[in-house]
Amino acid sequence: MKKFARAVCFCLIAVLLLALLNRILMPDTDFSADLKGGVADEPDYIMLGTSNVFYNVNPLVIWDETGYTGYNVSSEQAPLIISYYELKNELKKRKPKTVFLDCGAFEYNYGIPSFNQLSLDKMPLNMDKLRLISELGEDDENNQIKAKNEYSKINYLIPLYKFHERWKDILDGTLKSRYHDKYEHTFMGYVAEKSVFVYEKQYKWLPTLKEFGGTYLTEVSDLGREYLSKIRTLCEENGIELVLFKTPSKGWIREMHEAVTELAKEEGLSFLDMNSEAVLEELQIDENKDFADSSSHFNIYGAEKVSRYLAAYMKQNCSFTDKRGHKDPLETAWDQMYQEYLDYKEN
Amino acid sequence: MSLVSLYFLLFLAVVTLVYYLLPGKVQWVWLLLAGLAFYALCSYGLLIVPVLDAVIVYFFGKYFETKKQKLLMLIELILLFGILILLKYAGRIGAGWSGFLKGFGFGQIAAYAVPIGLSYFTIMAVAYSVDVFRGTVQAEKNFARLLLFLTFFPVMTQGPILRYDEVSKQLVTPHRFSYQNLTFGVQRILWGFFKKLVISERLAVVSMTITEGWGSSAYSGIWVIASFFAFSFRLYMDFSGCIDIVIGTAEILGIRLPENFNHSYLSRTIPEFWRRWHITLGTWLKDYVMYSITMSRPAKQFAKKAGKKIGRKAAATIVTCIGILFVWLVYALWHDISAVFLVSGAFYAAIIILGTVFDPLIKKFRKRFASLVESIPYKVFMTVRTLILSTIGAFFVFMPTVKDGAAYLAAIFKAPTGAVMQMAKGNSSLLGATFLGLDLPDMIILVLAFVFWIVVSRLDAKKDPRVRLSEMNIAVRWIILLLLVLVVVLFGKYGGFDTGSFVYQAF
Repeated sequence: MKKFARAVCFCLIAVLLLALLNRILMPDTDFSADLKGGVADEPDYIMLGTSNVFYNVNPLVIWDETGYTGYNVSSEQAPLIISYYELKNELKKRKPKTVFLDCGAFEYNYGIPSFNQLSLDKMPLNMDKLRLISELGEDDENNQIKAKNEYSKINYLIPLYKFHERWKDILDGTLKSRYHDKYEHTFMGYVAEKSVFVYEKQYKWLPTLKEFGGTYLTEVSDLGREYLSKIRTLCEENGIELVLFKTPSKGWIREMHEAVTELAKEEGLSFLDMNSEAVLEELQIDENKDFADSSSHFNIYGAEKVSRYLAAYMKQNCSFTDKRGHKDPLETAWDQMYQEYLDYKEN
Repeated sequence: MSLVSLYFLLFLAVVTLVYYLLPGKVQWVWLLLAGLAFYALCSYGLLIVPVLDAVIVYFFGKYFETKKQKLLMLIELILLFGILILLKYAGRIGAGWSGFLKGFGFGQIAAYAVPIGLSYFTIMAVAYSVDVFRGTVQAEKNFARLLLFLTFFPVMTQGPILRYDEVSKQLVTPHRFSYQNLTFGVQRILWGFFKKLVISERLAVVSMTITEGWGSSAYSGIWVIASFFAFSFRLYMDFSGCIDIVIGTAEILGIRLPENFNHSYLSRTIPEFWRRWHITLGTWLKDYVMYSITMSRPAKQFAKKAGKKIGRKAAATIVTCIGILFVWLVYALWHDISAVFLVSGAFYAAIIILGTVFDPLIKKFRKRFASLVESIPYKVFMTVRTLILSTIGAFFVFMPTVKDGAAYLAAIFKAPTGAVMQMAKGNSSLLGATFLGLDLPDMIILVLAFVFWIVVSRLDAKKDPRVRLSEMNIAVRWIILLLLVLVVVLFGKYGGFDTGSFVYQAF
C-alpha cells in the first residue's frame, strides 16, 4: 500500500511538472479582453467572430461614441463551431444584451487546424472543450469538410504535444515574444495595429468568387447552418439578442453576402453587411491609409471608422443605456482605457 | 497503432488494469482479447490471417503428435509461407492484391493489405510446427492458447520472435501484480522512448542529410563513413528502443520475453554481431534453417562420401557453407524479395563463409600474435571494422537499387567533401546554422543524450541499471526518473511544431 501511495505520488509530480512545462512552452496568443475590476460585468454587447472582429472593432471607440460597454470574443479564422463554444464559455461568466456575430466564418467549414489550435489553447480544459475537440473537423483545400482528419487531435488536448520543441525559443529569447508581438497592444479584445498596408492591385468590394479568385464556399453549408442555429438557441436561452454582421473585408464574396442575407431572412435575424455600397459610402475607407495587412484587416484608422459606424448602429437599433455622466468607477475605468488607447495611437 | 504513441500507452494502461483485476485463471483470455483488439485496430479485417495460421499449425501439430510425415510437414510449410508470400509480395504482381481487394469493395482493408507482424507470426508458427514435428515441444491442445501465442500484442510489430516452449507457459499461468514488474517495465519502456525519440530521430536527420546529399555529391570520403556510424546507431536505437518498449510492456504483465539485442555494436566479428543483433532472428535461422540443412540426411551422406575424398574437415566445412548460404537466402527472402536484400544477404554470407573457410588460418594468426590480438588497439580496430561491415550490409537494404548502394560505397574513396555546417541565410548567429542537418541545440542534445546512453550501457554490462536505481535513495531515484521523463517529453522528436503554419494568411 505504501508503495502504491508512492507510485501515485510520483505520477502526480510528473503530471504537475508536465503541466508546468505545458504552461511555459505554449505560445502566448491570448488577447482576450481584460475584464478586471468589473468593467464589463453587465456588458451591452459581445462581438463574436474571427480576426475581422479583433482587428476591426474597437470597443473603446464605441464607448467614446455611445457610453455602451462591451468587448470582443474572437480568434484567428475561428469557424462557427469554435465561436459557439467560445460564446458558451463566456456566457458562463457574463451575459450581454446583444451578441454581434461576424459572418466571415460562413465562407468555410472547419478552417485550418493550426489556427484552431490557437483558439483552443486559449480555452480552459472542461467538458465543453472536450466536446469541441471531438466535434472539430478539418477542411480540404476548397473549404469543404475533409473525410478524414489529418491533424492529430492530441495537439488540441495536450498542447505540449505540439509545442514541446519550443524549448529552443528560450535560447534566442523568443519564447514569450514570438506570438505576442502582434497582440502587444490590445484593448477589450481589440488588437490595435498601426502599420499601413497599401494594395498594389485594386480589389473591389463584394467581388464574385471568380473575380476574387479564392476557394471559399458560395453557399451556407449544413455545418454553418447547424452552428448558427446552436448559437441562436444559446442566445435565446439566455435572453440575448443575436445580430449578424459583417465588417468590411475584401475577402467577403458577393455569393456569400447573398446567401447570408437569404439565411438571415429565413431565420428572422438582422444582418448588417458593412460591405454594401451604402455603408461603404458612409465609412469612407481610405485605401491608402486604413488597411493594416494584405488580408484586408484594418489598422487603427480603419477600425475607428468601422467602430463608429457600429456605435451609430447600436444607438439606432439597440436599447442599451449610456453609462456616462455618473462619474462612477465604471466610467472612470472606461475613460482611462480609452485614454490609454489614445496614448498608444498618438505615440 | 505505433508503439511510440500515447494511444499505445493508453491501450497498455487499460489492458494492465483489467489484467490484474481479473482472476488469474482467465488472465490469458484477456491477453488474447487484447491481442485480437490490438490487431484489429492496426490491420482491421486482416485479423483473419494470424487466425488462419493458428488453425493450420493447430491441426498439423495435433496430427504430428501421433504421426510424423515429412510430406505433410512440407505441405504445412508451403501453406504458411504461401500466405506470407501471397500477402507480402502479391501487391507487386500485376494490378496487385490491393487492387484485387478494392475491386471487391474492401478499400479500407486494401490500405492495410499486409497485416502487421505477418513475417513475425509466420516464422513463430513455423518454429512451433517444426518443434512439434521434431518432438521437442508437445502440441497445444487448446486452440485459443495457441492463438494467444501467435497474437501476443507487444511483439506484433517488431518482434522479438518468440519460441513456444519459452513463453507459452508464462502466457497462460496466472500472474499476481508485482510492484517491481510494474516499475521495471515502465522504466524499460521509458528507456525505449528515450532511445527512439531523443537519439534515433536525431541520428536519422544526420544520416539522411549525408545520404541525400550524396546524390548531389555534396558528401564523400570520410563523411560517407560518418554516415555509416550515424545510420548504424540510428538503426540500433530505433530497433532496440522498440524492443525495450516491447519487453517492458510484457514485463508489466509479468511475462519475460527473450532479449533481442546485446550491445551488438561492440562485436568484433560478423558472426558475433549476428549473435548480438536481432538475436531471436539469428537463433531462429540457426535452429530452423542451418540445422535443417546440416543435420539432414543428404547432407550427412554427402559429408560421409566427400569426407573420404577430401577429408572430413573439408567436407564438414562445405556442408556448413551450404547451410550458411541457405540461412542468408532465407534472411533475405524473409525480409523482402528484392535485389538489395539479396545482395545484403550475399554480403553477410560471403564474410561468414570466408571466416569459416579461413578459420584454421585465423586461429593460427591469433595464436602466433596473441599479445597483439589481446591489445586494446587491435580490439578497437576489430570492433570498428565489424561495425562498418555490419552497417554496409544493413545500409544496403535501405538503398533504392544495388547500383545506388555501390555508388555510395564508391564515394568513400573520393576526396572528402561535405558541408558540415550551413549557415542560415541572412542570419550570422550560430543558432540559425545547421550541422549535418541538425541545428545547434539539437546537435548538443544528440551528443549529450548519446553520452548518457553510453554511460548507462556501460553500467548495464555489469548490473541492470534498474536494480541500481532501486537501490538508490528515493529522492535521487525520483529526480533521475523525472528528469528522464522530462527529457523524453521535451527533447523527443514527435508531434511537431511548425512555425510556418502560423504565417498569418487569409483572415
